[in-house]
Amino acid sequence: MNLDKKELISGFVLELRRGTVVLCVLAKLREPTYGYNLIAELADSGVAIEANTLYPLLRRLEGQGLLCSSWNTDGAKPRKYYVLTAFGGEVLAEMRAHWLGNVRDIQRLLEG
Amino acid sequence: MMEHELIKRYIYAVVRHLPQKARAEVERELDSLISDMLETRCGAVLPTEKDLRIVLTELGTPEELAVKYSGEEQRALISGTYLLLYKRVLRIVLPILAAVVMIAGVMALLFGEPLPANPYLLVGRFFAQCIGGAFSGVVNAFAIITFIFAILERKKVKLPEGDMFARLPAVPQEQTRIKPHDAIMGIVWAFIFTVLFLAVPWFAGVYLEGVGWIPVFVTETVRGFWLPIILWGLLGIGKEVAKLIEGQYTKRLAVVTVVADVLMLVCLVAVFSGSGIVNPVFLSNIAVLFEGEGAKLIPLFANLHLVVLGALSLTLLLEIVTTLVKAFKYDVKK
Repeated sequence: MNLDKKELISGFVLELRRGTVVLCVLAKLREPTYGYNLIAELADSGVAIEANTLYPLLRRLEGQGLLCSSWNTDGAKPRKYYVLTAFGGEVLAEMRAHWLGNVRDIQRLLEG
Repeated sequence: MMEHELIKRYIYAVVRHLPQKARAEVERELDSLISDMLETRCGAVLPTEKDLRIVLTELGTPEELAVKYSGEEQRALISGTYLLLYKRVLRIVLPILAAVVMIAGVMALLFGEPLPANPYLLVGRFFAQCIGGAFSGVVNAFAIITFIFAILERKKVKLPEGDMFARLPAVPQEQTRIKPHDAIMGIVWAFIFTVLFLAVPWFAGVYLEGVGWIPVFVTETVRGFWLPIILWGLLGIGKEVAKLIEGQYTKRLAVVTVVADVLMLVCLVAVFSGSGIVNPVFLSNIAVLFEGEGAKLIPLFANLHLVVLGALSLTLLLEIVTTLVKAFKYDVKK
């Protein structure tokens, strides 16, 4: 029973997170950075995301025109840097507004 | 990087599932990622095979990673509303197809090459031609329908919706509901009867001491009427399929049933209105069967074809009446 509850909750938490990952990634990519560094930065901000989720996600967001990428070969090894496009910036601004609105509403609901 | 055989094989195992044009880029990305992960793990120390295995395990199986890269985690061949329609189409098309192919098989059997005299051969050919044909027909149709729906799903083709409110079906009440197994039994009977009557018309008969098995009907005459008999079978199957699709007694179904029944009546009249279909040998031996009191029945047999016609017609007429009554009693859509 206890295990069921735990499983149930971790399922819900996962669902909650899934929707926020894109927002977090876009927010962090106002400055160009590469995937592996992004994982560390997000982890520092308390957002855990695995490489096998982030890398495909970055590609998808690029395909949707929210990000653009370029290979930087100046360092010891080549790295692919991602950064928000102008379109990505607009999307981020709107999503941010939605998020803040949602947080306000849900906060009120939870405390009400 | 990528000098290690294991890394090469891991990356290849991922990208081989991806579209050609994405492969080189993902290959480079993963190589860079794995190198970063190893560096984090080992620092300046040279990573061992064990470190590499741990890092790759952390990344997950190549298949999982490929699924994430292809963005097809949530995708199915056929899902959602497509799946609902797909199942409905299969339920309707497959039984009809099986029945039609089987009847076509029987026709081909009867009117193609001469029938084998050996009954085992006959049964064997029946199974090969009719059951086998129906099976392969059903498998083919299944494949084609699945293929079409897979394309609809892939291309996210919008299904015509029309007016949602006009499309809402009436909720069937308990007594108006047609039980599917009744309709399926009807299909099976119509099929078996059609097949038996054409393939082995002599199955109806009597055994007389000294004379042997006397069939009631003349085989050649029965087979001469193949067209109305097969039509009769198809109509019988068709109206049961209509019941399956409709699922309840409605006016629409009543119309279909009455039309089918009337056409079936015409077929019956075509087959049984002439006395030539009854075996004269059977008639001349009737007297032997009915002695004493039973002798009164003998005149009835003189017109046996009409008796059969009457009995079969009666069942059709009964069905017409009950269907109409049920439709008008229960189908009170506003």
